Amino acid sequence: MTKIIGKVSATESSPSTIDEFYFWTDKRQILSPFDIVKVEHECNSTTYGVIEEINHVTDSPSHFTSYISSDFGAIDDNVGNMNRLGMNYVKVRVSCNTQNIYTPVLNDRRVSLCDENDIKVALGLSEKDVQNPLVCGYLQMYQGDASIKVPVVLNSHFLLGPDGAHINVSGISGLAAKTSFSMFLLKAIQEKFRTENNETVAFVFFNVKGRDLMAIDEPNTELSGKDQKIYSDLGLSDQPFENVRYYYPYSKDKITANVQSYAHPDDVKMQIKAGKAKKYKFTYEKCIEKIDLLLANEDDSSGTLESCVNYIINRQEPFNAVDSWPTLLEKIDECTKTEANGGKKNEIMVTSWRKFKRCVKKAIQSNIFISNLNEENGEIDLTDEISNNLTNGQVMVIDIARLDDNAQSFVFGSVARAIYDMKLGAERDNIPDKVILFVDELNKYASNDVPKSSPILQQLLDIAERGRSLGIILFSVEQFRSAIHDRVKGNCATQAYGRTNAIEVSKSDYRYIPKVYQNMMTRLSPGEYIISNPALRSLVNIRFPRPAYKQYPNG
Amino acid sequence: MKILDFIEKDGEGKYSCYKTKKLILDSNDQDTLDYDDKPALQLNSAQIAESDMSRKETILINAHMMKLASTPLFSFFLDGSRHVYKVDDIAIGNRIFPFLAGQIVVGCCVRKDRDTFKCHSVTRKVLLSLPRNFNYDDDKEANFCRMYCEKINEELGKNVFVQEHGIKIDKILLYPTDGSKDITADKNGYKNSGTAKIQNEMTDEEQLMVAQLCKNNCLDNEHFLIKDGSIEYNSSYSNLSTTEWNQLRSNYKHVVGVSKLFNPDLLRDFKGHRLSKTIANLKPYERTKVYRYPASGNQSEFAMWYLRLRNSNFRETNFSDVIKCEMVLEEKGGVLDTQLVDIISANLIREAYPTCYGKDNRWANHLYPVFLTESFCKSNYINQNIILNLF
Repeated sequence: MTKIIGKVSATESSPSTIDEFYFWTDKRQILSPFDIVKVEHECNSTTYGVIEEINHVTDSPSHFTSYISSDFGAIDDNVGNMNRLGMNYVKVRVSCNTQNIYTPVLNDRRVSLCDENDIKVALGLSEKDVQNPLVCGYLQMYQGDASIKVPVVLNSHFLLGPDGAHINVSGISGLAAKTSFSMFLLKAIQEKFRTENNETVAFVFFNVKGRDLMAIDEPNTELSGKDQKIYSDLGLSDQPFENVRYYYPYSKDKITANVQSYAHPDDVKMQIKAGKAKKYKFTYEKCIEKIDLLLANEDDSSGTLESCVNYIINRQEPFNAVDSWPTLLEKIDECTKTEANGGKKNEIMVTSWRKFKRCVKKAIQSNIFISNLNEENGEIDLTDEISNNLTNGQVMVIDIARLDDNAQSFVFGSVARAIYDMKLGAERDNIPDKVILFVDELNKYASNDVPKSSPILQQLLDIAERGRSLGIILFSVEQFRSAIHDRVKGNCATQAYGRTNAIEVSKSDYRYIPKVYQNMMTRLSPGEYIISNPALRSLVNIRFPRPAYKQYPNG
Repeated sequence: MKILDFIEKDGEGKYSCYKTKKLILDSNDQDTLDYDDKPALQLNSAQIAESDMSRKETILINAHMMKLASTPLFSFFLDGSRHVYKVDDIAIGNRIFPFLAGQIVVGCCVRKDRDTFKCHSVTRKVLLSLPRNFNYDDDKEANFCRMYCEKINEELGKNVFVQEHGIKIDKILLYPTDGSKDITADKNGYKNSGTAKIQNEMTDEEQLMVAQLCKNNCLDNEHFLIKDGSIEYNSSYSNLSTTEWNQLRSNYKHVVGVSKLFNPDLLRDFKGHRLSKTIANLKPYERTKVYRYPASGNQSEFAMWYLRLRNSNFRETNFSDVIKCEMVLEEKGGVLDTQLVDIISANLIREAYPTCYGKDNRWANHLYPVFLTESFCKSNYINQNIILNLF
């Protein structure tokens, strides 16, 4: 028998409705938003609801009454022989009824706390409700003796398709632990998805800060016993990712082990030696079809850059014999000369070529754009690697943290395109059923400020809108959800809200979230998320353990 | 069938109901009997009724006493409340009388600690108050009323809503229609007479509830009861038999009656001066001496004193934060122990906080637990629309 904590109160001004009801409870009863309560309802059914607001009221009609009641402003404790009559009343949002009876709950019906089974029923987490379960954390409910932990499982069909796909994780830097949460989910998928769904899945991660993800196959030696227990309670191992390959951007600098990375050169060398790491480069020959990606961040409203790109892709004179980046620059240089200065007549205006030159020159400054590629030295082309070698269970970690913005965009765009092309047309029989693309700092590629013509934005929109049917799942992460393109976030079936700030929650993205939850979002602690998923009956406040892979607290 | 139709039909011509407008007769000014307003004592000077006989006009409840009162003396709080409705005019023979109905609620709350305030017991009654002539054939009154009440309830029980909610008429009261000038000469005489019957029923219930508390040994030297209003009950204003009534008088050793409305000129002080001046000049936390007051009918004696509850200049009038306190003297000529009076007074001062400012105009001399008990009683009323629709 669960503890009865109060009774429904339906008044003229605050009636019970189909969606919500109020109940009164003792002023010392500790409850929190997101706690679930149940009420006896008609036909022996039970209505479950999620606490939204908690108010404390007394019979004092005004603050003036309170002042007078304290002997006209005396600040002594315990004025009088008793405390003013007070109680808490709680607003509850109905989540479900066991017999689908949605008439408002009746006044004076008893309200009680829930046990684990109740909570599962209330949120749609019971075994009956969740087919293809995928653990995404746990929720902790009530305080003191009544406290319970319940694993939260999502129907993977609503996260990885076919019923819904993509997740968007938002939250401010540091305090929200966005990467840790995404990695927790991805680890659970790597561990459970194949065995429980009989489908294959591969992962492509981008490392965008420090060396965060550059040791995800090494155990976290500082993982506490408490966290280990949480992993085991959730049915997961506390081991790091398996089958991981690291891809570092090539550098000419030998001191840094020929990579541009924040990872320690010795670590990189060790990974290369162990056959886990490779260096990626982009040769002109392999990149000619994706030169447009170099210009992803340039505003091209008049389409001048695009026409230059098409000119080169079509290998029109003088680009028909170009085979390397320096030659490309030379040829573009030629096009920038007017006929008076010895240039050749060209259908695109010289001024357009000059703009194109400026942009391309800036973009290909990075060492990754180079003329030669030797696979025997551990150098690869990412597109080839994806289309030929990405298989079930594999995790590709592509380090772009140290690259400049243009190069980062190019790498991201090429990889996204390569995955798309692989799913559309590669001819091998071990293509994974699902490819999960983890993109940190999504605002770089799909913010509202990105030029609408950006090829990377178009690529992301394609993935967001059509990726579900192709099996490309986007795990996107950003600080401010409100800054992200509507069509990208709108297509994410699952949303995870981490700690954010008051300005952000005042934006229209959060309009449908109750005020109390909005305020809670500004107070969430690291490791705490508010999740919305079509298969869940309500927003759920979840927690997750610390990452099981090696951490670099100082970057 | 509704009650009026039933009475007409069942009476076979004895009674006619005119189905006039139903009225709620509720504000205090309509009370015929204000128990807090006793006739002024016709004595030159009143006797002091406390152990300290010193001829001081006022006594300050000092900090020491206040400290002693931090362990509360009062655990029980009792209040009664009533609503009276005029539901019709009924013709009996060739005379027309008002047909009254009433609801009374008497509640007692218990306080265990600063935060635990609960109902101890509550009584609610729905009453009909009809003229004595209603007993058409002059049957034995008690039997007639009981049997007629059963008949009405049987009829009411046919209504599903009434049955489901357990609503019934608890008692039929017959009010006198003659025998006093107040009744025959006043144009509202019948109405007042009928209302008085309902009021009497309420005070009887209050006394029965006190008796029950005593029977259950709830009241002792550490657990006193505050009764809202005067505790001077008059046997002639009771629906109980004199024997029953007399038995109830012995239950008041640990009961203090606290009145907010009082006639300050009720008594003269030991010097023979009107007490109203002393009361008006009471300083904060001062009380008057305790005076003796004989109960009407001279059956027993009361001790009463006045106490200023608050230290403030915000009072509306000089009387608005003063209460009248009453206790029953155990024997004629007896006195109250002065220390007990001081402790009771200190406790009453502490009971004045928190206040019900903003909720009740009488906040300045209202005691908070009494206010809560009153609110609790009122919350127990059946909705008046339901009551009026029974008729």
